[in-house]
Amino acid sequence: MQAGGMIFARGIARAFGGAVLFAVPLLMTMEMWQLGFSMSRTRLAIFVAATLPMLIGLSYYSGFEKTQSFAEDIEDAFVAYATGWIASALMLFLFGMIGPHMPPGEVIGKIGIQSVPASIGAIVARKQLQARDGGSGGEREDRATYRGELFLMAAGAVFVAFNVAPTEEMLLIAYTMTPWHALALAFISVLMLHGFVYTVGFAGQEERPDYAGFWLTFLHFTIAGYGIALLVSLYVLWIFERTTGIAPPEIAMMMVVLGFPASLGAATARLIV
Amino acid sequence: MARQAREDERGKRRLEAIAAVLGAVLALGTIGVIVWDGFSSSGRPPVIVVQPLGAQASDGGYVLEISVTNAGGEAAAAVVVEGTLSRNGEVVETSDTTFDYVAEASHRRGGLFFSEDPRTMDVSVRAKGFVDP
Repeated sequence: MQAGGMIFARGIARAFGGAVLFAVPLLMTMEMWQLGFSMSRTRLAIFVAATLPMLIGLSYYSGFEKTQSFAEDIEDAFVAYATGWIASALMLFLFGMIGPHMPPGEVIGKIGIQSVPASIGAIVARKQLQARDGGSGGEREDRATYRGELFLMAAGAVFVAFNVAPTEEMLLIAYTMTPWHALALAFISVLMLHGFVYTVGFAGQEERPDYAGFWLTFLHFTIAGYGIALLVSLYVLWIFERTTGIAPPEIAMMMVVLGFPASLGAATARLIV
Repeated sequence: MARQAREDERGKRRLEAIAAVLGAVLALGTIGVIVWDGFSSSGRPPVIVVQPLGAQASDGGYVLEISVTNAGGEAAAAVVVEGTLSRNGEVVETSDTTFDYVAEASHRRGGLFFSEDPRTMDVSVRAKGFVDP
């Protein structure tokens, strides 16, 4: 029991470190504080609610504790969310961004939006912050199914896209670019995504015979991954109300701009998780 | 056991095909919209149309809600909008605000504060200028 308690405490400490590490760029981003009180409450609620299934999935593939059952994954997801929430609250308080003189709606909103990246950091902390214990091996991500690969790509895309989406630079880039710049960026995104797919080594691609392998890998991982990156970009843009009143071609441009970091996140999710 | 594996394999194949088709549709769709936009955009400078939406009493004054539409071919930044209240041709009060960005073919909403009631006066709103983003 004593030893078990120590292991759990160490896991929590690691999760807390991961939460702060992953959330610190956003904790120090002005737009995030403003979004905390200005963004639509419905969308904020959807955003936080959608994070929980993602945490459960991430717990299954990684997580700060080795899990045996689905129930444990759910438990881990909530522990990670709590850790991320508390870490966000603590840091925002230290920065003077929340305080007792503010209305509860503002305080909860600011913590709520930060709790998303922080809890993702908490859940993936194990992989990132654990000293190699050797011999354990066989993490589930190594034998992830295709469904799992797609999930990891989506989670990676959400995390990286979310890191840049709140900033004004995102809009500025989309409005400054011509459609031809955007096309070139889409091309580069797909190219880099494909490069990472080969380098990082996604499960299943190596089984393919060589002559068919290139196109199958390209379709099943790169194109599927870019589709995920674009969908995730649209989702994040919608969450942050960047799409309100905007004409479809402009939304498409923003999707490509945000799709660039999103596809990098999708491609490298396996390295992080 | 073998049958189970075969079914897993078939399920995986189906999922791969769905994911690839969905990805291709999204990528080509997005690129298609952008190419269409590239060929159809005139490159005309922004044309900012401001419309008053309605006024109501606000704390210690009145707020006139406005909608700003960019009917031009390029996005505009720092769009300054001025509203004027006049009675019998005489300007009573002016107020202005700045919109950070108004994308092409898109609209944004905002408001102007007045101490006089816009509902009892002639209201005119116009954009004074913009910056190329």
